[in-house]
Amino acid sequence: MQFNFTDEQKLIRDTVFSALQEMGDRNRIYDVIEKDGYDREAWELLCKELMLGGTSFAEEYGGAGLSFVELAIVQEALGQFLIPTPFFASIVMSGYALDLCGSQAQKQAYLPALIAGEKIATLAYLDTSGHFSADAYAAELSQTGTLNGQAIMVQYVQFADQIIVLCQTDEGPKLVLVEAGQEGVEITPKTAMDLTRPVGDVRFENVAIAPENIMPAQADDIETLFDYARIMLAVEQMGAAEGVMNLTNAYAKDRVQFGRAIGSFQAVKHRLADMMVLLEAAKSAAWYAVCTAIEDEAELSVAASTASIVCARAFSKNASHGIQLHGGMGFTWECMAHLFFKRARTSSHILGAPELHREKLADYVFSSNRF
Amino acid sequence: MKLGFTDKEEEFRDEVVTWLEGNLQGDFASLRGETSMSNQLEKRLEWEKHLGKSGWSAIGYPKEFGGREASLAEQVIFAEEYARAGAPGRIGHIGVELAGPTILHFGSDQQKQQFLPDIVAGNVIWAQGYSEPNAGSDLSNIQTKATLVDGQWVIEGQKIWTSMAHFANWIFVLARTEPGSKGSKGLSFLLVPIDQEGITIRPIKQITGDAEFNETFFDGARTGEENVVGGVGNGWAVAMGLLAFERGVGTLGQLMSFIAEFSMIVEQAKQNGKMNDPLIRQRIGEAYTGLKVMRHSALRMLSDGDNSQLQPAAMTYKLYWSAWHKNLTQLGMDVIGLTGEMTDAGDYLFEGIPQMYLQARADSIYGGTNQIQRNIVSEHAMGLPREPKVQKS
Repeated sequence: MQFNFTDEQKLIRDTVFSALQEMGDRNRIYDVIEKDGYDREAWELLCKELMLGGTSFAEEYGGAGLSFVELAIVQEALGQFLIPTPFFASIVMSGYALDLCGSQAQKQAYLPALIAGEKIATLAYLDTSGHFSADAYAAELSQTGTLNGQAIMVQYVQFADQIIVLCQTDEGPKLVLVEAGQEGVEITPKTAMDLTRPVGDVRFENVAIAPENIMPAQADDIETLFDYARIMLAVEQMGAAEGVMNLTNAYAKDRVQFGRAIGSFQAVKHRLADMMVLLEAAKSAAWYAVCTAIEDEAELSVAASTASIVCARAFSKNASHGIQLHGGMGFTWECMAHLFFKRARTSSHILGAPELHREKLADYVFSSNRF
Repeated sequence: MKLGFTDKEEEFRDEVVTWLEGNLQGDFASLRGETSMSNQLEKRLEWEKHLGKSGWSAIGYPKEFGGREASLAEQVIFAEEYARAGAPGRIGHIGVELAGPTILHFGSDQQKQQFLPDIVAGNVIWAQGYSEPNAGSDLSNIQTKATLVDGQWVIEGQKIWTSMAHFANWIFVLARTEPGSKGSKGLSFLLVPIDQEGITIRPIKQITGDAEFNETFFDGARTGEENVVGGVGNGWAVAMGLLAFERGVGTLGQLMSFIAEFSMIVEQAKQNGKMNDPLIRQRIGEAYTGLKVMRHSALRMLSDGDNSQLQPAAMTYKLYWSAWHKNLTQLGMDVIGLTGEMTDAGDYLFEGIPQMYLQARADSIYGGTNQIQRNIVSEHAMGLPREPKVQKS
């Protein structure tokens, strides 16, 4: 059995974690969120210095040609240290949209700049209902190539160069590439409850889409893209579940009441132990899903839904426990617990609520005979 | 990082499957799917001997004592396939998994020669004598005393939750050998023959109606001076070492039986239409994630196999599976409905999911209650301070 990191992976992990830990300094994060929520310094470090944007992409596009495991290590660190960068929107979702669904020419045209962090792309896929669902589309592409519709909660869209839009067409769902400055594209930045993830709405009004900007992929590839994204989001949630646990653990050792550290009270320490149980389950689910993406295509969707449920719960519950165990401090703006709490909320819904994933699994269970 | 086992490990799996298929036949065929620890006792004692003769009883042991020196992964695979084949619960497991490894690690050469071959051969069945009425979670509060008289230990006291004691031949006993000592000091780990006048065994009826456990009374029971393992006064270190032998070998075997229970519930829901209830579907989906989490938690633990320090994945595992399993059996009852709450007139003995529903209440208690587990996790994995000791006034 080798269901643990190889020596090379441990080395990469140590490098990534020590570099990003510094970036996760509390005062830095607060400076970023008080400004516009986009940590440009961390983005430079990630893409230019550490060259992590291309971790899992092929060398011909400027990538390092490593696996999903190494990409997940970056996502885990970004979650743990709560660093607000477009990595998930631009590298994971848009990068894999191109990689899985794009043509050779589209990959060559867009991937190298995304990987290098020179351009930012984002995926517009949520419709105005406010609920992710497999058959809802934010926009519609007519046969004559005009795009109309409205997408909400598009991550980092106010900083994006390209928007990849999931739209309905006569031939089923398609992804199309749109320039952020293109005529008919109207971007409205919003104030997000989650302070670590800048978002905006986008309206597409008669946007002209050239045929070369329509990705050739079919519905199946798009479903695979969403499963990949779910797995990487789950990994980030798992990392963040650890981040908020560490924050709370440190506080419980430091805070003294009744003449002793509150972490010595079983009412407190048992809740911290529960946080560890949730975290360890999340680690098992997340790394299983990461490996499934590499090794076992047939199980991808089951693994992605499992990781989505388990990691969303770990992060959400740990963040709630984090606020509670910080007491009054936990309700203040200056305590980081709320940043985790708010991020957990959004993360657990942007690629399908846990209810949606549980139903998917039930559907699988009732239609198969082997578990 | 990879899922699954190596090719060599998979070859070993094939060997195990072939042997089990070929041997759970004839007289032993009726043992398949036997879950109760008390049914078909004679046949199961025979099965223990058959495993021993065939070299499949204690595969992790050194070859000189009848083992195969199987790797941790191979032991896990064996446990998994053993459960998958529906082979019966191991009546010899306290000897094979607890007494044997303790003697191997802490025992003298003479003790190894005397006890190990009989454990492997299934000739001697062992029971465990740890807990006492006042030493449950606070295990070191042992009151049972052993005094050396004319070259023999004379034992006075009471043990509880001694499973198998009603048909076991030997029992290991944690006893206070230093008069006046307190807590973990002054204890010794003694090996005691059960069939003697000074030992009385009384079964304890459980909430399931079954009686897997006993109270065992020691009233001048005797064992030879040489039957102390790891040295006089060193019993606590030996007992704690024993707990460390449980490194997840049984996890995938246990998971196989959880999968079987899950499948029964799914089948039941298909038959009675509960599969169309959206809330039941949500809970089925939720339960299914647990199967995946447990499998991969076990693989993570086992991939750390050579690391002697227990990792958080291992420390949190019991809390995870016990909560999951209790929830699963509750889901099972909700799927079955009230028909599951009645059985044929006669003895109070339920079967299938209703039996598991009652049995699972023990999951969060035995082997360290959830409350103790949370202390272990928070203190050992998270570095939180211990609760201050109460000062007696």
